[in-house]
Amino acid sequence: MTADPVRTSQWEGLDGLDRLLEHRSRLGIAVLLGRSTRMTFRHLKDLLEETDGNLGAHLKKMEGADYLNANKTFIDGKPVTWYSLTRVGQVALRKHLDALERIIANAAANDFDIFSKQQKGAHD
Amino acid sequence: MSQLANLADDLAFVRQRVDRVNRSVFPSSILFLWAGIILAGSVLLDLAPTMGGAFWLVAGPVGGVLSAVLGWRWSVALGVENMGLARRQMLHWGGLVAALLVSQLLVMSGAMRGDAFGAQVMLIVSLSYFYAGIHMHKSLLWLSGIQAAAFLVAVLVPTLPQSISGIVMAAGFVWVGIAAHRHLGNGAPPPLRR
Repeated sequence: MTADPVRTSQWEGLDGLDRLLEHRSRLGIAVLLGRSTRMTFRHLKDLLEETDGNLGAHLKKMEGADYLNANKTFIDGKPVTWYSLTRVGQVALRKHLDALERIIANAAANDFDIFSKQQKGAHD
Repeated sequence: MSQLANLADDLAFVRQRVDRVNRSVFPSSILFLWAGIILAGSVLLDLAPTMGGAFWLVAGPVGGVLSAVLGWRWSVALGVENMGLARRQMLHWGGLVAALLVSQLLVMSGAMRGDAFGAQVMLIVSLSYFYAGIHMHKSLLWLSGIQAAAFLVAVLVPTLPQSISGIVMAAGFVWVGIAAHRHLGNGAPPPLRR
């Protein structure tokens, strides 16, 4: 049995995706932290519209993989947790985005409209 | 195709979140601070020109330092620190100060007429806000337009030109400051665009 060459080329890059960043909330966290020096739990929660529990679980996973650093400080007497992307996290995000770029480029080369999620000419 | 479709959904999700950061506004406290400085400095330039010059010599740098402190405090209270943006801000506004100093040197050396200095300053400041609006905070684009209008007022109005253009500018800063405060509300990011 031979693989469909069009289908195979569309999935090129999938193996370069980072398993941890495949979840969109974790990808969102990494991208937002990648664009700044550090962010608080509350600000990430506001931006991503996640519940405390969900966000906490995602952050814990990423921290466990050494993608994130967490620092506790006090602002106006209240404890605040700041998160920043580590060097490992930055490299993982870069590789993940590169893989996504390859997938999109392959999808475009195969005339697949990624935003309408349809093969162009599929209904022709 | 479901895996590819999921990727597209995830990218749209991330793009919406990043878009909210991009649409965040300038801290209104800085705009109110400069409204006060501009109003006082402009009126002084008409009523007591010598004192006006000294005022700007002190109030300009002090206002710049206070703006940096207010901006940093606002950012920390919001829950985000961005050293890259802070560096860009320093370079941008530092460039404005350097351009103003060069203009002053041109006047002192006789290469530029002294009565052209005021117009030159307004033009440089207006251009600085225009570029800041394009590259950093869109809300500042409004201020560059208001400053251009104030520039015309200063050129066209025969009596108390600096004071009137200062009032126009200060009103513009207050207006954009109030709009920024309303837009930001309780500090939460702007709503998602779906």
